[in-house]
Amino acid sequence: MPPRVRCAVPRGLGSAVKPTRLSTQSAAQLLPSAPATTPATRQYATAAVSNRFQLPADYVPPTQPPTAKLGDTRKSQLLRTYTSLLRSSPLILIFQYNNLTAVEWAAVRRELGAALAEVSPEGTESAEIAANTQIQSIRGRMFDIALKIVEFYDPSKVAPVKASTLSGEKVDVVYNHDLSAAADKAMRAAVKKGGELPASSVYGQILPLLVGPLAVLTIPAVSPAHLGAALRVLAPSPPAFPAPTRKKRPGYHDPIAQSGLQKLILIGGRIEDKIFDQDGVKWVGGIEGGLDGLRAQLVHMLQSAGMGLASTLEGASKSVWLTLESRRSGMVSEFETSLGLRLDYEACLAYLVSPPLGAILLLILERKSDYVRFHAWQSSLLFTALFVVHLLFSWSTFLSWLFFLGDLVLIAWLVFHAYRDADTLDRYEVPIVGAIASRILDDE
Amino acid sequence: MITRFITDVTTRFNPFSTRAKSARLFLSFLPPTARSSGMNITTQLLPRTSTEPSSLVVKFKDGKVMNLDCETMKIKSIVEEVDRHSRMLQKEADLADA
Repeated sequence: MPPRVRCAVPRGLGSAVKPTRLSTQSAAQLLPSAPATTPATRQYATAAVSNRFQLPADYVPPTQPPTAKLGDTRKSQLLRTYTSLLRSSPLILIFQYNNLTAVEWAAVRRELGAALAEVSPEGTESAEIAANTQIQSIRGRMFDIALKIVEFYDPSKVAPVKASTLSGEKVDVVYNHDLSAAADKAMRAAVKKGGELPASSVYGQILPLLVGPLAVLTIPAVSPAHLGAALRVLAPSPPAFPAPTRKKRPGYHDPIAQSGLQKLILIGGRIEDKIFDQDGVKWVGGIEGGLDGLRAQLVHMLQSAGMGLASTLEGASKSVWLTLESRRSGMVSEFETSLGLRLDYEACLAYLVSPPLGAILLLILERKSDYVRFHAWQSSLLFTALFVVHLLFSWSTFLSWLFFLGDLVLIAWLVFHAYRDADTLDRYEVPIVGAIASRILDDE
Repeated sequence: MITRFITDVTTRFNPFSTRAKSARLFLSFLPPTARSSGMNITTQLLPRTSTEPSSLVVKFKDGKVMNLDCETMKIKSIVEEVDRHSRMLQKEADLADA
C-alpha cells in the first residue's frame, strides 16, 4: 500500500552531512569553513564540519514523518485556540448539543448571523462584534485544561532560564507559553486530584457544566444587545426574548433549523469571570443600552444626590423606581394594554362585541397596544363594508340569512387567529381590508 | 441504545449539579432523527440554586413508563435498564413480523 502522506524521502543524517565532494556550489555554501580549493591534509569530511553543522531546511527526521492530521485539530493547537478564546471573549455561553447534523449546524449559524446582523448597523463597532461572534463545538477535555491554564497560570511570573545561542553566548530566555512546562506545573499544582477548589474559583463553578457534547458561543465584548439577539434565536423565551416571527425570518421556522435549535440546550455562561445559569444569562441579555445604559443610570442617581440629604435619599429611591419602571414598561410594552385586560382576550373582543360598533369603541378606548388596535381597525373596516352589503341585499330573506351565517364563520375564524397569534404579535390580515388596517396603524 | 420503542422522554435537571450528568448524557444518546420520527423530548432546566433531584422519565410504545433515578444511576445502568425493556418489545415486534 502506498503511504497516505506524500513527503520528501526522509534523508538520514549521513546524507545531510556528507560533503564528500566540496566542488558543488551548495555544499560550499553549507560549509564555508572547509577550504574548497587546496586541502592541505587529507581528513574525514565529518571531522572538518563538526562545529559548523546545519541541517537543510527540508530535512525530515526518519523517526518523525509529517502527520496526516489537520493542523487545527491537533490537541496542542486546540489548547492554544481555547486559551486565547477564553482570554479574549468576556462573554461565553455554554450549550449542550445533542446530535446536530451538519446541515442543522449550518442553519443554526445562518439564523444566528442574521439575528446579530439585525442589531448591529453596518460600519460600527457593533458590526465588528457581530462578525467575530461564533458558535463552535468544543472538545471537553481540552477546554477543561484551557480553563485551568487561564485561571491558575500567570505567564508573567515565570522566571527566565539561561540558554546558549548558536554562537555560544548565554542569554536569558522565558518559556511561558501555554504549552510550556511551567503552565503544566502551575495547573497541576492548583488542581490536585480529590482536592477541594475554593468556592470563588471560576473553574470550580464551571466544572459541573463540562459534561457531554458542548458548544460555546463566544462574543468578543459584553454587549447585551448582541447577547439578546443570540438568545432570541438560540434559546427563545417570550415575552423578553421572543423568537423571530414567521414573517420576518421564514428560514428560522424551516424544519431543519427548528430541529437543530431544539437540540441545543443553553446550560450556562461565563460573563466577565462570573458564572451564570440560564436565568442569569437572560438577565444580562435584558439590560437595555448595555454598559453605557447602566453607567447612565448610575450618573443619574449620583446627580440627583446633589440636592440635599432628604432629597438625595428620596431622589435615589425615586430614580431606582423610575429606572425599574421604565425598564419594565420598555420590556413588556408590546404586550401591555391600556384597558388592563389580557392582550389576546382584548383582541378577540374586537370581533365578538357587536361588530363594527364594539371595534370602534375599542379603537377609542385602547391607545397602547398596537396588536389590539390593528384588530379593532380590521374589524371595524371589514364589518362596516359587510353592513353595507347586508343593506344592499336586504330585499331577500334567504340571502340575508346566508350572509349572516357567513359573518358568523368569519368572526369565529378571525377570533381564532387573533387569539392564537397574540403570542408572537403576528398580524393576521384578511385580503385588502387587512392591508389597509395595517397601513393606517403604521401611519399613526 | 435501542430508541425505536421510546415515545416520550422528559428530563428535569440542574446543570450545575454533578448529579445531572446521567440525565444530560441520556439526552445526547438520542439519535439525530429522534424528534422527526415522533419522539417527544422535553427538557426543563432548574435554576442554579435548586436542590431538586434530577429526573428522567421514559415512556414506551406499549405504555410502560420508566421513572429512572438519575441521582444514583450512572449512564451505563440507565441505558441497560431502558434496553432491557426495548429488547423485549423488539422481540415481540419481530415475532409479529414473522
